[in-house]
Amino acid sequence: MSITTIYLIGVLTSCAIYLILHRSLVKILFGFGLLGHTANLILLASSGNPNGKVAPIIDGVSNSFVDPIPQALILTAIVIGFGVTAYLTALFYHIFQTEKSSHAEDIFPI
Amino acid sequence: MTSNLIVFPIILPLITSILLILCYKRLYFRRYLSIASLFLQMYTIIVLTTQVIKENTLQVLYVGGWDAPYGIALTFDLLSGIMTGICVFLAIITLLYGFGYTPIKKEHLFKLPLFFFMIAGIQLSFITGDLFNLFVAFEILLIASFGLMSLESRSNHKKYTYPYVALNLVGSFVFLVTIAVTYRLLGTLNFADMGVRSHLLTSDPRLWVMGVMLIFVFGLKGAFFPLYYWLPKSYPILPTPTGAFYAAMLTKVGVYGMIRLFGTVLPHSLGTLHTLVLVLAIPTMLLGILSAFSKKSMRDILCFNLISHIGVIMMGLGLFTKESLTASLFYMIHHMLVIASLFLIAGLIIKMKGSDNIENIGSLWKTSPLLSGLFLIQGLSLSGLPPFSGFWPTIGLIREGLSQGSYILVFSLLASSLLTLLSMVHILFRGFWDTQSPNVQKPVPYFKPMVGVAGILVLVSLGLGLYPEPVLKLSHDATEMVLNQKAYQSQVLP
Repeated sequence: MSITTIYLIGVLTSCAIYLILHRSLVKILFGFGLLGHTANLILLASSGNPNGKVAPIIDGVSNSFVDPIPQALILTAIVIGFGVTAYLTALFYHIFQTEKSSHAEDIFPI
Repeated sequence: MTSNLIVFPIILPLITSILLILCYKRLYFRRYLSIASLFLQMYTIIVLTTQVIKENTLQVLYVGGWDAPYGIALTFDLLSGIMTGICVFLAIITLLYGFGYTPIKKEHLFKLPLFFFMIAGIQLSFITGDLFNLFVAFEILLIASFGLMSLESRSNHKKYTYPYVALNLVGSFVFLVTIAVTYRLLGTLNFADMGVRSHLLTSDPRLWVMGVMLIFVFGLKGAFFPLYYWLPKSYPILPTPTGAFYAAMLTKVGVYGMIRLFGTVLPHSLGTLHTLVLVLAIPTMLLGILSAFSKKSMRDILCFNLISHIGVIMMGLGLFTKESLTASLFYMIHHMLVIASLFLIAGLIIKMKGSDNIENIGSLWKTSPLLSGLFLIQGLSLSGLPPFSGFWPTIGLIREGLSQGSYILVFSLLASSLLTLLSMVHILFRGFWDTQSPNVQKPVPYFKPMVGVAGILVLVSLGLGLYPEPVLKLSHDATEMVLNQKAYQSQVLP
């Protein structure tokens, strides 16, 4: 289970970096969204291997629980990610309106 | 010592910003309200700081009544007191100046609320005692600063917020990864508990990985050597009052994070990491100031100077002795006041001449001698000449560097100081004394009290230079408190 998560993190990070380095603003936006989700997965991985563990509800039967703290952290990080994505969308829309282009090379000429 | 007062520096700006949004029609009332709220905040900070000095202990608040390693602990020590106090002081100064700079009808309705959200984020990052909470504080101040930057800049300049936003988003990603690594390694995110547990792992290489990632995160915020590219692109697009506040406070939040993490939390035996900071300090000091000579706009020159002086603060941090950290802290206080006042003076010049390009302004010495005098004082202070405030921390850093035998560092510090002087003299010659300027105009009338506001800031930093004793003692005591990890842990953990 852990090793699958790590592979997934690797694939997602490389996809996110590929998208961020793209010319089109829309793809950059998706790239940052993906990067945020990758960070959430890494936080999830920090709670350790979940095999054979149950949700932290004390019922007197099981005594091996999943660590709930990383999940609380992820919840906060998701909310912050929403805010940032909303801001980026507005900024890119404004840039598109003023520059009449959504290509990075037209907007930031060297 | 528990005290509920600690939340006030955080919730006062939050409440104020909500009130400012609600009464959006009463323009003058909004301005009075914002200044009154800042003064109230200043009062709570002064009360807290005097309590800290009197009892010589931290003020701790366990939010929601959850004890230390389980809930979030807010801690207020002398360093937090100094940083929050200066933040509020500069906020008052730049807001008052901004009221004169922007006519009340032209001010955007969301400028003041966003400014207060940013202050809330800054204050939370100075007060919190929890790594994840520090991340949240950074995000609050970053999102507010993104918003403010794209709101305040001119329409065709808004695209330059993108480099700032993009690099900070990458920084947030790395910060989250660092938090995950820390939690997996230490099993806690509370500063005091992190300190206790990391002492058991001092030779563990994973602790060094964590340290390098922390240097990256705070280095991006504080504009350290390979990561400063965003700063001179994005700060000059801001109107000068807001730009002054950004330049003075936002980079210092990153430096504060470094001091807190390496001083209070991580073991002091991580010498390799301190050397890494020193190695990064040299190019930060030299490359920053060398780039300043290619620029013509005063604000661009000041931004590159800012990068170079972050390098000076890093040098004190990397040497990591009590004296060098004291000097760094003093330098930080001096630098926040001086760089803010220089930005404000540049703003006045823009008001008078319509531009801050030193090729165009010309012969300001004749048209406004007072402004030229203020600039001369602050320019000399920035380069660390004797009677002014920059001299004392610089001499402390040189002495500490020599006693540690790091001559290359001392040489770079002296070189960057000399180059700062040259770049200030460059501005003085071209902008103030040069009478050959092609378009010498009559001075445009501007709101006179703005000079007074900038003058107050200059007077404060002049006083800091002429009578440095109390501030020197304050920064010495603050450093002692930061470095005393045992006391921090025993006071936070019950």
